[in-house]
Amino acid sequence: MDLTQNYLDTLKATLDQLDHKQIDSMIELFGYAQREQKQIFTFGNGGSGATASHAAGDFIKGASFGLEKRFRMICLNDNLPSMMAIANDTDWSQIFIESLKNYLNPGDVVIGISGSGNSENVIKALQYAQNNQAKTIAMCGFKGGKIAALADVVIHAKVNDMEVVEDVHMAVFNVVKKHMMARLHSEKSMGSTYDARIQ
Amino acid sequence: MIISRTPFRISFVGGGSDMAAFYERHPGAVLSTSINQYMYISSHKYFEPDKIRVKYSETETVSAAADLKHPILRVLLQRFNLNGIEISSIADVPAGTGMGSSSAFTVGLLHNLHAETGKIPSKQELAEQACQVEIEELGEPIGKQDQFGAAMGGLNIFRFLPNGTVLTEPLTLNPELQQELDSNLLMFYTGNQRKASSILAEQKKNVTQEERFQSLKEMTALVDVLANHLRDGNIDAMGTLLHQNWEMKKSLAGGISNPLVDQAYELALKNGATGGKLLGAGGGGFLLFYCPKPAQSKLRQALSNLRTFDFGFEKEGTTLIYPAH
Repeated sequence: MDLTQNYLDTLKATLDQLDHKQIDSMIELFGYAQREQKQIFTFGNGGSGATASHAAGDFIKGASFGLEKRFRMICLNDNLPSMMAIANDTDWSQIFIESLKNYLNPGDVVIGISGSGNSENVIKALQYAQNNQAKTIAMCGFKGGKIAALADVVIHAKVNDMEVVEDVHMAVFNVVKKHMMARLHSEKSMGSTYDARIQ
Repeated sequence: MIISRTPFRISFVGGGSDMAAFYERHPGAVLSTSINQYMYISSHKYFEPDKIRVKYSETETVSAAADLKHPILRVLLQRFNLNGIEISSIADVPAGTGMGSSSAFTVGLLHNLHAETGKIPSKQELAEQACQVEIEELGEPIGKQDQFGAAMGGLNIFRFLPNGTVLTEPLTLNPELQQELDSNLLMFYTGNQRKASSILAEQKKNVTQEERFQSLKEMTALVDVLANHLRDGNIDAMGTLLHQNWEMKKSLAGGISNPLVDQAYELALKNGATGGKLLGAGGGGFLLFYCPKPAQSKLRQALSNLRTFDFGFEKEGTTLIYPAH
């Protein structure tokens, strides 16, 4: 089959298999974090790291714009110096848990993203989060991996294809964002410059 | 000797949305508080090292935990693999009266048995384990609010997520407001006990019907309405919303109210109460009313054939009172 068609078909099939109970639960956790002004941490490696960064950006601006109570979302792989310092001086597996130790409070929400579900640094950070009364979300693909067992909410893209997994994870973040915006934003403006640009 | 003390809870609005049949379709929420009425569980080394003795409304002495009749004791003593132990429970309120006594028992027993084995679990873990035992293992057709209400303590919104996760959001009021709310709530004992599971079983079965689902959805929405009123200092909203909740809840299952309870409720509303509810799943037990101070003596007089039951809010949740922590 055509590679393009094949990819898109796989992506559609994987999206169709998503467990909506888990997505609805993730939406509730975001609602809770915004209401209670809890912090939301997210992190991942490679493409998952980019997803984490993209999502944090969306909630810092997009979902929060114009609100009095805003989302306090932090992407742990956005600070390159701290990550490199930790990796260089200790071990790559420590890069997320170490910065969680700086910030995490009980009741915060922690989202670990790993396509395989087995990235050591994501596992360690989620374990730390669980042991410190945080609410945890695992975003994984393939067979779910070890992080699926470490989370209150599991977003599992059931497919053995890393690119599809990454696309699905980003789509889920956007779904959550859409729900939050529908709930919290009475007026739709994303800023006058944005509004003019999309006319 | 280890003694755990676990509070009972009264729920204000949202009851029923803590059951899987509901929250798997739509996030559930309950506003409740724990009260200063408790389940005490004590455990101590038993004189016979290879026997178990448990004391509740009955006394059982067995050689193996699997032989215990009491289901919660049987499951948990097997799980903790304890022998040569004596366990007894004492409660301020009888079972089956709608204040979550069976879950307070489970949470308190879990707390006690963890302490026996040297562990200190979090309140969240105790609540989750109690839900697992009662709902999954023993198949009780009950929700999750009792276990969380008893374990966490305080005035809280519990949110029941579609995947089974439970969130606890403490509702913090300034102390004077909380005191006023506390003293405007009166409880009366109707004396008619029932087993929670018989009515809840019907509720569970019926909740799949669309109109009941919609009604529960509306009741769940009252949780945030009431919470926002309370945060804004409008505590009289408690009466109005309890009444709204009462009307909605009556439509849920036939057995939820009875003529005696209905009469007492109507009488209370004519005599100063602005709203109220029958605690728990219904059928008999405790009636809770919201009634501002000036009308309280009139209300007590009108309901003088029922026993007044004094209570207050509490904040601690399940705790070990001996040895003190």
